[in-house]
Amino acid sequence: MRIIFLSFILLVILAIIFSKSTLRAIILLSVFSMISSLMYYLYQAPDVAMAELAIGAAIVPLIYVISITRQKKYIVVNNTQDHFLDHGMAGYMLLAHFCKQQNLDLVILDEAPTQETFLFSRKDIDLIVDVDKDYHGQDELICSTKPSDKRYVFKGSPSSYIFHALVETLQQDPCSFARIMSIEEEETHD
Amino acid sequence: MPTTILNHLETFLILAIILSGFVGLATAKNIIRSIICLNITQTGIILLFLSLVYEPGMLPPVLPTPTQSMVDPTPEALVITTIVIGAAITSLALMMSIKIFHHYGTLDWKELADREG
Repeated sequence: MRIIFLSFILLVILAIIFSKSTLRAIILLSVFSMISSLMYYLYQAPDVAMAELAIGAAIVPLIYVISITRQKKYIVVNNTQDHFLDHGMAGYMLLAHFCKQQNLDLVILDEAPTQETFLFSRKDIDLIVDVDKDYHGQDELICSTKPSDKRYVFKGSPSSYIFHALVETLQQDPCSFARIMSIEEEETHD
Repeated sequence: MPTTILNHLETFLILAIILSGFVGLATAKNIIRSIICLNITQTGIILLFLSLVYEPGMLPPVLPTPTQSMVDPTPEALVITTIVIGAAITSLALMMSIKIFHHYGTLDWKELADREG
């Protein structure tokens, strides 16, 4: 009896190691926890079996699923207070195209302007979009061709690779309305 | 004696579970796969602890049972702590993997090594 279940656990482990998608591996991990909690019961440890069934088979896979949906999100803070990042507008199209290339989900937050370094250090924010206040016409624009009344700044932390990819995308097909600004992260003091 | 052979086979299978967790840890391409293999190793070690004190015909350590016929409750008390701490370590590791993904843009070990250098 116990040997049958232990062999079954080994089969499930092999399925986990050789499974293609991560989500399938997580579901198989839940199955693995359930069978092992049955094994604990057969070893006359019903308290351990209950704890494993609650924590190992339910809560831990839940945490896995939350984390793998969380890490796909690319969080952008909208500081412009106009319609630049609305659905269908130019900035939204640019960011949505970039996120589709990088296999990310675009999340746009509307927040009141605060201190930017504070935002980067405290939250999981990847990019801040702001109105370019010191635009006079001859700044370090990515491409300065057509004059328009407003320019926008994309602010990100320079150590992030996703931000580097965004910079490269903007350099490949230049657009007239946006430029890149890097913000150094503060040393963490918490 | 067939019972001792079966006992040895059980211990062998549990050691195989622990070792397959280590093998998965060594061959994992993804950070999340590595964390899953840590969980597998932890469960295997719990099974090893529980199988050490178990003998056939014994009863769970609940009070009306006479002391001679119950399994030793000490490893069970140790092992419950292991389960809870394992859940905490898993969530901490997943949080760090989210941070790594937002910093480097990938969760693949080889690409991470390339981008680090």
